[in-house]
Amino acid sequence: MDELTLARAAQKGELNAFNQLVLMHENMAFNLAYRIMSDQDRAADAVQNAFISAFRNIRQYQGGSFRAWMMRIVPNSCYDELRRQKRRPSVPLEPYDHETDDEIESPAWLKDPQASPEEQAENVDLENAIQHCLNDLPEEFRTVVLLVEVEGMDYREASSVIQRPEGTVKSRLARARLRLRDCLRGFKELIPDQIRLIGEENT
Amino acid sequence: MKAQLTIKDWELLSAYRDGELSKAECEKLEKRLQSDQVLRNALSDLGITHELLGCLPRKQVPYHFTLTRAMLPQGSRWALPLSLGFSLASVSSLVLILLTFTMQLLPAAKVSLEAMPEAEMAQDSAVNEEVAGESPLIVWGTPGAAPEPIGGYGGGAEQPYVGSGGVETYMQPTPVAISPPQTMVLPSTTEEVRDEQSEEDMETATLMEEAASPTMAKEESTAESALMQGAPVEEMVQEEEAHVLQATPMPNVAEQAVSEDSPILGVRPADENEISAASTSDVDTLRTYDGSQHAWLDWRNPIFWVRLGLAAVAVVSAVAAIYFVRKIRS
Repeated sequence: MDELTLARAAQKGELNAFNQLVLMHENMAFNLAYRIMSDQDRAADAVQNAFISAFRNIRQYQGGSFRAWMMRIVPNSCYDELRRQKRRPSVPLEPYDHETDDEIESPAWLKDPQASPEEQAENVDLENAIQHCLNDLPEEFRTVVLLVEVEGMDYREASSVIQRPEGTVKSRLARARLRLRDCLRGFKELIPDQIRLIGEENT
Repeated sequence: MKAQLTIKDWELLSAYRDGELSKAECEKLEKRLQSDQVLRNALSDLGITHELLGCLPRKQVPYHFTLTRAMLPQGSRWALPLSLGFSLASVSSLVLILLTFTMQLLPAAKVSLEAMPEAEMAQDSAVNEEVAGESPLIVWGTPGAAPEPIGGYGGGAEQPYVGSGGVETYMQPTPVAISPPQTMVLPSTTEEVRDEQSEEDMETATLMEEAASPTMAKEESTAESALMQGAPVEEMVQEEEAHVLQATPMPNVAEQAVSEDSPILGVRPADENEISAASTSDVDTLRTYDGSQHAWLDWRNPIFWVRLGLAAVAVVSAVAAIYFVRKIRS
């Protein structure tokens, strides 16, 4: 059955049909949630809540891309969870040395405790650096850049997810990329030579 | 060539990178790229950023997120219709309350809305009239003057005033609708009316006995002596009438009430105070039923209880609606 037929069946209360849709989109939903929240357990909770909310509001789906409709719920669930976290004390993203009041250049949170080989450690560092830069973005910029850059959506689908015009997607994406570039310059040593060459080829 | 790019340039480059520019915009931008090194560097940075983001590993889901019936909140099916129903009930109650206030302002509706208390008043008046079918006994007289004997032993048609008798009494019509209202006395119950009536009758009888005894003897002796002297009967009648008129001025109940030792019947000061108090309270009662003076605050008005009930329904329904709306949102 195609996506629309499953969605219509789910609208009639068939949970099995909805679960098939869940299996089709759970990977994308979880990765989007993970990049927004940068925590696997909380991302899983947010995705689960998003699917429950989607089933309860499945009647609001009027057709079109079910993926776009589903991904609209996931970021909202994630940001709700992040706001709940803000009400509770947590580890800051940019840790400071309380004695000297200086920012720690190589904070422990950038290191993966499970990394053993050096190459794997470098990859993890790069991933953490990128995630750090993503976390620095405002919510609206972060969502757009993840939808387009990471999940590969075009402007039209991204505008359907965030429920804004395509011009807004274009503007937010450009600003988000500019901020990411400035942020990633601080981790220049982590960028592989292969990627640097790709950048030079583009010019 | 500009040293620094604007946000507009960045938007063009970003869209160009994603293939979202039109053909004309692409050609225009490509011309600029050939001559602008800063623009080319910016495009290079965009490529690096894109590649870096593409390096992010895909995470495997820790478990499947399929749903079971147990995961779904129970009762959510009825929450929406219940919240809508309670909202409607709350709004309807408020509208009805406003409607009662609006109807009260209209003259025709005012009559119907306030018909109940006025009907009660009319019913009370009817009871009073029924009880007072026997008009209250009022005895008129002159303070300090001896009442003239009337009737008595009889004596035939030619001698109607010969002999002793009681004082003259008049039957006063029932004071049902009296203006001004301060003078109106409305006993609250039938028993009270009857009690007052019987007390007045007893007082009247007692006073009549007291007043009749000295003067009756005098008048009797006068009439007898006139007869003995052979005076004409007509002269006696005229003289008697003139005497009676002279001795019977326009009654003043208040003055009679002051002189308690007077044989003239009236209202005693103690009774007068009770009557005055009763009159005041009844007048106040009448005023409260006047629609122009906060009748909607009067708990004796049935409309007050109707509005109170509607307000309670509105509040309870609103609370229930808020509860179900929160349940839906949770």
